[in-house]
Amino acid sequence: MQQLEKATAVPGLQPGKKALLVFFETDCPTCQLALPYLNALKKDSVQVIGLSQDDEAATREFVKQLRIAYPVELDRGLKISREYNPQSVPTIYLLDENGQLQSTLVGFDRQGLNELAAALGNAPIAPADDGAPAWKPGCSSRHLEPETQNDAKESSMKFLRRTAEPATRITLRDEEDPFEYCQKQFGDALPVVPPTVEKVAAMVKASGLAAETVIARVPPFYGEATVEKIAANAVMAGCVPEMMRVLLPLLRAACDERFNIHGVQATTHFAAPLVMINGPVRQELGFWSKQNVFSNVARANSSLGRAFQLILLNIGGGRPDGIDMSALGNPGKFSFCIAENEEENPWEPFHVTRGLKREQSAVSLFAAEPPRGVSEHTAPAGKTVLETISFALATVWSYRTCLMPEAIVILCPEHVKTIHRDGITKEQARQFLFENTGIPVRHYSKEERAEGTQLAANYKEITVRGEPCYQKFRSPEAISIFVTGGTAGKFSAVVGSWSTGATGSQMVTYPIPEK
Amino acid sequence: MHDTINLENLGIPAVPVATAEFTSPARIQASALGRAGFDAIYVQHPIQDQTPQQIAARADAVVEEIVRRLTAS
Amino acid sequence: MAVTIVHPGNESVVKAATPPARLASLAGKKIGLLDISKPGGSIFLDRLEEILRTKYGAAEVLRTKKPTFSKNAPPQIIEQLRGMDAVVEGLAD
Repeated sequence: MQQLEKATAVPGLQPGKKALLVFFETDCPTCQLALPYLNALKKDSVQVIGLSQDDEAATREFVKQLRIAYPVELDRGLKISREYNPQSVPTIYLLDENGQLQSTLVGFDRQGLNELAAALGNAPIAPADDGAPAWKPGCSSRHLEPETQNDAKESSMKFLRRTAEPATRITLRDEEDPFEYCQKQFGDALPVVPPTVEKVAAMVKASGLAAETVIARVPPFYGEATVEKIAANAVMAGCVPEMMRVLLPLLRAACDERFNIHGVQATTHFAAPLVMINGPVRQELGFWSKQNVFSNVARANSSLGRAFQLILLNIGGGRPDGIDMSALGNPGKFSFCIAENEEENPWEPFHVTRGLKREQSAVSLFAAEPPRGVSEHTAPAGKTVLETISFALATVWSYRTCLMPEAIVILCPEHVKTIHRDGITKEQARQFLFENTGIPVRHYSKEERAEGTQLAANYKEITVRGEPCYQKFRSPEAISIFVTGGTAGKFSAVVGSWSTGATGSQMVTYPIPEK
Repeated sequence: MHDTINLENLGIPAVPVATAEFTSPARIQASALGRAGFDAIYVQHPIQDQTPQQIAARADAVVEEIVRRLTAS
Repeated sequence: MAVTIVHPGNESVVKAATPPARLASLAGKKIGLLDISKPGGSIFLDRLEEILRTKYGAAEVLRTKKPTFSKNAPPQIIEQLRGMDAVVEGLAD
């Protein structure tokens, strides 16, 4: 253990008590994200002291905007920073009763914050589903910056506020047709329900939150999605007020940095966010999971998917004739919302595989290509059905591209019944698809410079049906299984991904609160 | 465009280069970030299927404009 | 009867920033080249670097690369570029 004998006393630090020293800069987005979490620590468990590397005015604003509830001191002349020497901010030092350094937490680190809380006898302080990323690096500590660069500080200070101004009220002239006006100004190419003050108020009321509460900032313009503006788009899409219960976590999920909606919106690829609903909310709000599940079949699916898209257009600014540059687009951009047919699924439901309890309602998002159908009406064996599906899986993204893509296998009830009857578990089905989806090596030629061939040196060679192939997927986890659709017709589907992983879009699942 | 404007906001003259297909989204994005009229420099589309020589020629075609944008006021 | 609706679009105000002053010339200056990680972009920037050094007298060219074109540059990359006199970002297609 490192003994800290510091020449400069930390103001307000009481000896004989555990302490957290939190070094921060007011204009660092990671500090702005991380510091409010420490409010939740029990006061008697530890003394938290914020140490600001900025001046008094900026620090006061920071404390006020972010509602920091623990003492914050100015590190004048960065003397304390120089002694403790954090390389970046935020850096949190845990000192024991004797002032000895116990642990250090750098940047924003959800798990680290919860471990810190646990070490101090607290409940977790950073919930998994609040839209913050798992981890976010900080900014370089002020005492390591060259002197001259403090000039630009003023202009770069930006706070993420928790509430915004009320939305403007627009009173239409008597002769103006509200349907025409709203379609032209805020529509998705089809008429919308005018978001009248009364209708929006009912929607806001159902949310149980204040109208001006900011739920998310929607890329690419990072428009503030307040409860009221979300409600206005929900009205336009034809939602019932109770749908706010699903729409708010859906929007938080969409703006989760892992999902990378900014990239999904801006890409020239087909990707559109596919909304997948699980749990009791399906019955409570009437989400459909039977025949025509991808179609215009149920108000809940269609209006939720449409409201989400309208929010992306109107609040996010990702208009399909503007910043959204998709070469061909995706019919799912009108509405792309399915529910799992858990009743016809002999295995555990999708959200349980994603780590939630069965009785928990959940919404998941996947950056999806349009579904490609797979017909298999004649094969009697479950394995053959899976093999047929593997041929469709091989075509995801681009036939010769391996490792990067992911896919969701949409299994229809008849197919899953056959596979399950043959004693195949969900995990085994996924493993089988992983091991049997390969692209024959003979389909690659370096000279043609075709997409997917350049990276072939990284691909894994396997044998499929007696033929040398490159394995399509990087791991079984790249394939998900979702059971839905009508009980007649042996038609399943494969839904391909956009770019995946840390540099693309990662699937997210958020719980939907109980009604 | 977003990165470039972040850098400009830090006081560093900066300019983005994109292919001509991205003219419209680049301008919309600049405008949304409070810099209406701030434009990217555009080269001929596409890039990914071009030979190294062809890509270098794209650079030759716009280097003067890049320098002008970083130095002119 | 006149209908009043709630504005459903983005009304967040972005303050117009003042553009930084341009340089007198690139001679003796430090130039950052930010590669957005699209295929072919590095070849473009290689050529640009060569010309900026030989024809325009740039003293230093710092090459840096975003982890992915699909997201904004992370703080570390912006920090790297902070010390530069000017930056060129490319190449989006």
